[in-house]
Amino acid sequence: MRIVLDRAKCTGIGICESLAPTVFEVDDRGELVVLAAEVPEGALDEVTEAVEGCPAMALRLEP
Amino acid sequence: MEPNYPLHLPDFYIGDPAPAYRDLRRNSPVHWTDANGGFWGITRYEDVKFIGSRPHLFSSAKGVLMPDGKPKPAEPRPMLITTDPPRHNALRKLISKGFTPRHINAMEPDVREIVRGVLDSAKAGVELEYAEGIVAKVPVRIIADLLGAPAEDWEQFRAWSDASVGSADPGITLTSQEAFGALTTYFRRLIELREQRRANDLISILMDAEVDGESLSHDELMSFLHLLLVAGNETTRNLIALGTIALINHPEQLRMLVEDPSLIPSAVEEMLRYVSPVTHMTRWATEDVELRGRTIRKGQAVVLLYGAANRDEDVFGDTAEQFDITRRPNPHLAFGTGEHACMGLSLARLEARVFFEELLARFDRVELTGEVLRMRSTMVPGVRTMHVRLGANEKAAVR
Ligand code: HEM
Repeated sequence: MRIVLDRAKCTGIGICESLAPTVFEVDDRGELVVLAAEVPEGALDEVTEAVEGCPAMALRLEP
Repeated sequence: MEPNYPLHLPDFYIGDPAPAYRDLRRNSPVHWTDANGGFWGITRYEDVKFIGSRPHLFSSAKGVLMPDGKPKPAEPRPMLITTDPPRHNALRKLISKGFTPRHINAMEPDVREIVRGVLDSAKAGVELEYAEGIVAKVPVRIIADLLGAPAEDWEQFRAWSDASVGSADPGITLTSQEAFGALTTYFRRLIELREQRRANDLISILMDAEVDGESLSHDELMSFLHLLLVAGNETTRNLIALGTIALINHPEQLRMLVEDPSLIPSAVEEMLRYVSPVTHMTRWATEDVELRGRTIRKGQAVVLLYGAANRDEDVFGDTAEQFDITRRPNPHLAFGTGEHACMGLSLARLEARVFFEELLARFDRVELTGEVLRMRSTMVPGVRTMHVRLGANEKAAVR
């Protein structure tokens, strides 16, 4: 599964980082960095939660 | 016949709006109210999400409060919350980096100290006033601290903040205009201090911030400060006070929480859903839009009723109207939805969690001893005063 970020929607609030810290990180300029293009093994649950929990609806999973 | 409810009046929200919400979700989910120049009320979860995530069709620029019948200023003050994309996103990133869960969690020791300081004044077994006297002190101290205001000014802050949101409340003597003026003067002084020397606070971050190579205008800076104070205060107080009342009304759940404090984070989510401390935000249609067979005309106001969406049986099932601190998943919209969704949500969650952890470690019983007085506001109809008696938690280790 690919992790797709819509930068125009992302507001860098970092809810995703709190749910899946191995995959998402908000840097010092407030930009979200996606640390893995594909969902890492064993992380699907937390990444799914992060995608669903994004209040800006800026994250998506694609096959 | 069309159902008819006074969606424009504070009393509607102070009473129990749940039956009306249920009726509207079912029979008139896109509901026209004539009062105050007219507005649409949206009650279904799916529709609130649809509108909240389409800022190009449903703009915030004309304000987020429901129409109140008063004339609007020709040039509203520029505010994050009333800015549309693309500028909204650029503005928001300036401060949102100070609100990420990582940054906010680092504040936990400070938050706990503030909560402990406030609860130290609460005695078991005697009647005490809980909303003003205890709960309200927590968020105002935390926001003022975050902004960089000195501790001796914190109480004054609360008075101004109360007055600027609850202007319909007869118990408040300052008008919202006057409170806004007082805050503006005060913030100007803080900015002058920071001009001489920056500090490790939000005001300093904002003064150094640039959007497209330009720093914020003085007005933008002012309204940011004003917004943070107002947005973070009444809301959190309302969540904790009405959340406490929900626990009082569901003694078996209070018992469960006392016995297993690891349930507190999920109890806070359920309080957010059940209480919906912010009843609504408003959007303005930028073109004609069809929704569930109704035509929303360009320029009309659309009021997103979060409390109604948060009881939607299509999402929360047949227990939607029940208070259940173990509910999971709990995808409530209490913090709004889309790009304007609450920026302070991690802070609000932290404050509420720490508050209930500390409260229940000291007191395992709470009872109301008198009437609950509410704020007369349509947006944040919080608790003005409530008297309670607390029972000491004998089992908890003495700190
Ligand atoms: C229980 C507590 C809270 C609730 C229920 C709440 C609710 C909301 C809601 C519903 C919105 C959406 C506005 C919209 O869509 O137009 C919002 C926005 C906002 N909130 Fe909160 N809030 C809470 C606490 C806080 C705190 C503690 C802060 C800051 C310290 C804060 C700062 C903000 C800001 C700055 C915005 C505007 C964001 C934007 O327009 O991009 N809130 N809040």
